Amino acid sequence: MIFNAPNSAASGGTLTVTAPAGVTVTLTKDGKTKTKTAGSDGVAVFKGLASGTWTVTITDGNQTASKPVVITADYSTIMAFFSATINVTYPSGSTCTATDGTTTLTAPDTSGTWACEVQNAGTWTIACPASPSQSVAITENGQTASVALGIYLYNNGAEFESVTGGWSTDGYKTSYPWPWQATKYDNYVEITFIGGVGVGGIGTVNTVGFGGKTTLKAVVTPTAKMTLKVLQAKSPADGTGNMLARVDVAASVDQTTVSLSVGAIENGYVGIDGDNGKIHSVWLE
Amino acid sequence: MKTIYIDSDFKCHAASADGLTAVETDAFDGKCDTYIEGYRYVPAGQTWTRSDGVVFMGEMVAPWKPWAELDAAQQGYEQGQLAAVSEQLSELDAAYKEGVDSL
Repeated sequence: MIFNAPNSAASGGTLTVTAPAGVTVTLTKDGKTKTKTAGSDGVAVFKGLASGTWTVTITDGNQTASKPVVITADYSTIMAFFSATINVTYPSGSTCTATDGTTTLTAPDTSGTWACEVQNAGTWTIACPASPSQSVAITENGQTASVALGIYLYNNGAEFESVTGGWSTDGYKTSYPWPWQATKYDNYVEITFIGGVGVGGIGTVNTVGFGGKTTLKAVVTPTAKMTLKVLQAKSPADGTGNMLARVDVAASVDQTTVSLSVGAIENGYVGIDGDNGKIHSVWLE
Repeated sequence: MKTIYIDSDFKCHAASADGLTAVETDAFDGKCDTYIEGYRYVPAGQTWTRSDGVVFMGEMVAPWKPWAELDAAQQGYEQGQLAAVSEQLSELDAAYKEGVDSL
């Protein structure tokens, strides 16, 4: 009876192990074992290996050494009649996704850069827990678009301590002796004027590096006028001597987005003050 | 409070000139001319559109030159002011002592 066994050596990965001549070389993975003896040149070649992590062990009968080796025998690529690329930059260390409402793609790592290949035209929303989401319209096959996500400093209760050190009133009180308070709620901070004259403020515990971002933005509900500012030092917060940049937002009952140009500033303390109002989110983009 | 002058791009100038608009602000009290002229001042009610298309509403005070350079200029200015005041105090002190000695 003759069996025509398939030539498995024609498929799979090849691992060349260089070790002391004459030692026994053993590969194991998922219960499978392959063994060879290293030749006079110290080389043992294993072919037809499945993808994955193999444990390589050598022994001369007296001593043994082992190490894991990752074999990549299978590669994949996606083909489609429509293909476009969205080059995304996002805060490193964070996850990132892209979705058109039907298909959701996930960045392969947390490096902060992602060449996202999409196979559908449409509006793609790029999202990251550390950033406000952004949308981009993909309309043409072969299109390349770029999205640079911002960096949250505060968002609906989250203080992003790794960037800001947290948010505090310490160092942001004005020289006026009149009482005011800043209260942290689950989803916002509220500055409340409780008597007298003056403004209350809250801001980052640490100085924030702007990392080349050019715009500081905030969403506030300015019951009275509020000011978004960047400071060189935290106290006195109302002193023009240490104010790097500021922008006022007029009183309104509606949530309002305010923008401050900060492209010429490398770093600073970020603060918001006012007589009355709510702070919903603050970010750099 | 001091008077500064802004051009059509809202860049600040320390001195008046044709085409500039005078504004009163306390944002630059104690600041040297070099520091002032590295800033933009967008008055309340007006908007400025940056070259990348982002729109900013006033009242906004923000540097357009690298702030580190402006800070260095301001520190140099303040050191010069301090030296001048110190010299004046020394002159006053000398005059006082001369006056006392003459009594």
